[in-house]
Amino acid sequence: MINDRLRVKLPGLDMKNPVMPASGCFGFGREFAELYDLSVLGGVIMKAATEAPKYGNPTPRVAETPAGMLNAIGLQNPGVDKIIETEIPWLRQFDTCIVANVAGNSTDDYVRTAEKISRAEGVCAIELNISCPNVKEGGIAFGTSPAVAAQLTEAVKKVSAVPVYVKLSPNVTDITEIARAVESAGADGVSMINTLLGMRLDLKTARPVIANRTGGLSGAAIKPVAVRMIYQVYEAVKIPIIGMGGIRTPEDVLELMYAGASAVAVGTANFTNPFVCPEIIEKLPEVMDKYEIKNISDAVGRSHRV
Amino acid sequence: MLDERVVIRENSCIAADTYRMVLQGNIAGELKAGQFVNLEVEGYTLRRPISISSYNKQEKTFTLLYKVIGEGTAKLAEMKPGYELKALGPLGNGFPIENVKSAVLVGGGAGTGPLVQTAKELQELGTEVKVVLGFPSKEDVYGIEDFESLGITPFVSTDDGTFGFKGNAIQLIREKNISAEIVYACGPKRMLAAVEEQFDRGYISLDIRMACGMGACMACVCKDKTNENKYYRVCKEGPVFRIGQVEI
Repeated sequence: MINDRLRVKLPGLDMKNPVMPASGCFGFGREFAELYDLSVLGGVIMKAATEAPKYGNPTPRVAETPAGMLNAIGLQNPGVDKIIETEIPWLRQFDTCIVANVAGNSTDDYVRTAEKISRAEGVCAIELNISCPNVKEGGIAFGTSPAVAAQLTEAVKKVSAVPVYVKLSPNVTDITEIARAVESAGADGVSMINTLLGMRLDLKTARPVIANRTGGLSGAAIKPVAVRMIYQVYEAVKIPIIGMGGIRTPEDVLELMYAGASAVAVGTANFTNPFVCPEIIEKLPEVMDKYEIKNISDAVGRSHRV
Repeated sequence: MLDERVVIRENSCIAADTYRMVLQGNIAGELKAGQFVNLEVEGYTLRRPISISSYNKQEKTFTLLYKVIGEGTAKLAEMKPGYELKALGPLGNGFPIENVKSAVLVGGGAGTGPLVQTAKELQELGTEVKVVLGFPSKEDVYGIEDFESLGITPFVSTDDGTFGFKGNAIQLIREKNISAEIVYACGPKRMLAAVEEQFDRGYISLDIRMACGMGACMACVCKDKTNENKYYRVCKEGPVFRIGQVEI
């Protein structure tokens, strides 16, 4: 499977190909490892880690939407200590980059979680989920204010032993503002986009379909939004972008990379087809030939050069 | 666990909005009673988790009895024999087939399906099997012939009394004083809660919205009844739980 045409290099991540499963859509990989060898993946972005174990939201937590789905899982995870003790050592058996996604509700718990997990053997980078509500500030998401996002990034950068990618929320008026703010605060890269806030109502009961009422929209439906935002952020910052949002095919990978992504993550499509990541990786060289791309890194930002 | 293309051998309407689909594929060889498959419906993001009603390992076939409840299942209902679709399975734990003298199987509406194979396997161990089924109305009633082919005449109730006993499955159990060493139940939450009140020993199968169906996404969790820090993934540790094990 080693094919240098597909190799991409980002801070902390020397990847044999640009494709990773996205955080939250792959657990810690155990279930997918029953289906295929995770070593084919460029990397694995683990499910979010929080300081304490988290049960998450009431059910139902998911609902289908046209060309996508809504979810409000609520970051259910066994807590950072358990993840370091059992999940990361298990993932290390595979020849792939491990990215740890970190979430929290206050700067302090983000910092403690990031510090611990960044020092776990095998972790190559942190993806900082700034879409969480800031409990001390009345529940407003960290990622919606440039100043708050920058302050959090700076605090995490100070303690992290590995590069930090800040995962940007699309639920903002100007995503380039947030991207610039976290770049100035020392982020090594950004990953984008997180889900778009949405809602579905049951016509019979008139109640929201999801128990949490609102949920994050993902899947093919959001791909054009991801492409647009990555395109804008690529022009606004110099740090690399990990692109995600509605990828299902190798063509989608190229489109997000043309917009400016240096690597990509595949999320919801893992539910439609559990083999989607290896299938994309296998077909990518053929699609690159079609568009006369020698090395995948040549595709990064291609639309900005024409 | 396999993700393979299976072929539709039969897909026919058996009651109001209720269909019998017979599929052929290698998954059949690995199935246990009470497990499910996650079916891809072209054009839809999420797969449809549907319980296995019965299977035939020699012929590599398995049968689903499913209800049309939305767009995806409506599309499934339109599929013709010969059509291929992807199925991920077997998924979930299934009903443990215990060696007991007598068992009562309680099915509510769409929950009837997974009990057919369970009845068959209990019978093979020499267990006396009683079946109690509850439906909203006469046109919803299905599955009777599946049990009759095993020599079991199900007790049937309808909410409006248009077929069999007027009332629900639990009221029918009380009315007829039906008892057994163990209960196996599948149906709406209300019914499962009533089953837990009526019986001390046995298993219930939960129905819940899922996404991946294989334990990765945490969409379909439920809590332990006594330890609030413990949870189960319905698709992985379930869908079958011991009576009293989880919060319904």
